[in-house]
Amino acid sequence: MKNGFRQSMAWLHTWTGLLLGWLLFAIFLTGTLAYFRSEITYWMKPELHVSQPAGDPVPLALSRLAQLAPAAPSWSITLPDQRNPSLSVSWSNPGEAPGRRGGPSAILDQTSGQILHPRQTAGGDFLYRFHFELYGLPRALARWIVGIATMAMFVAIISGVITHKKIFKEFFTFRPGKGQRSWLDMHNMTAVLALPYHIMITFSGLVLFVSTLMPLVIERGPQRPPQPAAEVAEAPPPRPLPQLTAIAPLMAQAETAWGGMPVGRIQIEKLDTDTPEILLVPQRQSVVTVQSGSGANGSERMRFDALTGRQIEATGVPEASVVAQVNMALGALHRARFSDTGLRWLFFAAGLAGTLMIGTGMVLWVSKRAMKHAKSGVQPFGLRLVDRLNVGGIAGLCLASAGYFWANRLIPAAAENRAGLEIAAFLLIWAAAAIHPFLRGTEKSWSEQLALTAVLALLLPVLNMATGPSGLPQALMAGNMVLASVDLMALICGAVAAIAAWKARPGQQKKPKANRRPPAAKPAPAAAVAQTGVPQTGVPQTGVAGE
Amino acid sequence: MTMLPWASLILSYAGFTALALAMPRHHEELWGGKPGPLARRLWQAGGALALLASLILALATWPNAPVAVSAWAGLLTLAAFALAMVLTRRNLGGHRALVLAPPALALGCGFLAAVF
Repeated sequence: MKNGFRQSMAWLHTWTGLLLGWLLFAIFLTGTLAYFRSEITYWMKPELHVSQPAGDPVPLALSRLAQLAPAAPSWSITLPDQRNPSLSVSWSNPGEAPGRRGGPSAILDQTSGQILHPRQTAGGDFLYRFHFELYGLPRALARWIVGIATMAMFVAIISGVITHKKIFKEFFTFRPGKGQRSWLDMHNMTAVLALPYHIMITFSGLVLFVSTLMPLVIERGPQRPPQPAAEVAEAPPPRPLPQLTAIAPLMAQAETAWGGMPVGRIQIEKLDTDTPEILLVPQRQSVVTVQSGSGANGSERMRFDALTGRQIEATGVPEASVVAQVNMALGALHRARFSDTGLRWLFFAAGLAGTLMIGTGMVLWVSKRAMKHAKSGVQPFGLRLVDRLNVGGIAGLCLASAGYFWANRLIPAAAENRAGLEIAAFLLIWAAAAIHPFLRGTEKSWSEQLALTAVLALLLPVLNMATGPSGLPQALMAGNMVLASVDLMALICGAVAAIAAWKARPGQQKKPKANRRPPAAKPAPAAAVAQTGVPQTGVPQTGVAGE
Repeated sequence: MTMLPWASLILSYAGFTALALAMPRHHEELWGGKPGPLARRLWQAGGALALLASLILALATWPNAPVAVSAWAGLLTLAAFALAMVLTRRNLGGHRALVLAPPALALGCGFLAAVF
């Protein structure tokens, strides 16, 4: 009975994995990259990289606002932070409510105060959106699809742990150079060692989808009291700007009250009255449970009289029920909203492990079956199809992602509908990579796509240096970690792709059948796959049989 | 940046190494020979204590608990991965002292991070 249960779990693991494996691979890869969403968006706007941090940006922003929008009833300054080093200002037109989105705004050079004009780009937001809404599908449908895939992931994790019970006895085992056994070790290792992360990310992802999958059970998060509708005043005549009090001491007061969390946004409101006010908003929330929206700022507020500096009011964290708090905590965990840089890299590494886990799982599906059918010499159609689709679904997506970064820098900055072109480049590369194995055979296309991915990723810092004002060395010297992190991420991904390409190089499977004899190089996992696709390779390696 | 997260990382590595020494298969690979039942218990207890200590350090590093626990899980992954790599090398004939390489590396990184 026990055996029967494990077998049915193995069956479940295999088929949920196969059915949704490519989709899950895409979700994991783009989602992992999306940990650096704002860093990528910044990297993709090289026009912003000229601005260097220079002392206190507030006085500069205020004086520029006085020139740009002397008649505006309200100003807003978004200060540079750990993840977005730009200084941006916005203002409302007379007669409009303050703080409206989509109003006039500008990004300033922090030294000269000049307005910078970044190129239009789909940025990190495309990767972020893609990982839960895909692309080109109606939003509700796409969320349903990804939601179901998330559930399948959960099923695959649980059934996988039951199936591969032995993994806990061979916890730290990785045996290179043993063909399919090495793939299985790799699959198990990336799964078990990052298991807490996989469970957390899948479960919290599922909770984020609850409103899509079960529309009746959501409990809404805390709602801000509705803003009183702003009175529409007739455009006032230009009046002399009031002499504002010094903002630095107010910021210090707020930061102390918020437990050291820095101010992220400064709003100066009611400039058209005799009683202007200053509103300070923190950069991020102080506790993980505050708010799960994807906006950047925390929900504490502090309001001052702009002339005297007297505090008018301070609002804290809104009350929320326990269920709402748990929901929000899971949402914030999933998005790594709280993360300092080190933690973000940890999550990135764990996400990469998850991506590898799914990829190796897909390859295992093929190599196991290929071995079974090798004796008869006939590879069934389904097996050959999955084998070829694996190339486009795994290596092809890596290639398309690397190509996306290149497209950002190579498409002219002034092109029409630039963001659309970037996305088109991504999709076209992916489509070409999906067709490639059908023309070229799996073995060659695996290694070619992985090698090209490695080259593109490893050369990304060079491209950045050639097409932007600040390369990796300058960014590191200037301490601009936001810019440097994208180049570093590219180098890491490039190295992984290069290792994979080396292992998958053609000719690997022609080695003499080595059973338990450690060969010099690891017989490519992908080579095992490739065998199934290339009929002339004949007898596959006899690895140690599966679990 | 303080040394705390690095210390937590090193402790979780130490904990995993002790747990590996409690497992017959990994004990053989790392050390040679099989551990007796008492030795296994001792290694297990030591490993669990070290992991607990690394959790406490993680809680001291990150101000709120959900974040600290997720971060700790991430550190565990890193530490276990490092140990798996050491064992892989060991099986290919690497020296016993390789076990000390990951903590040395972490110590170096932590030192650099504290200086800069």
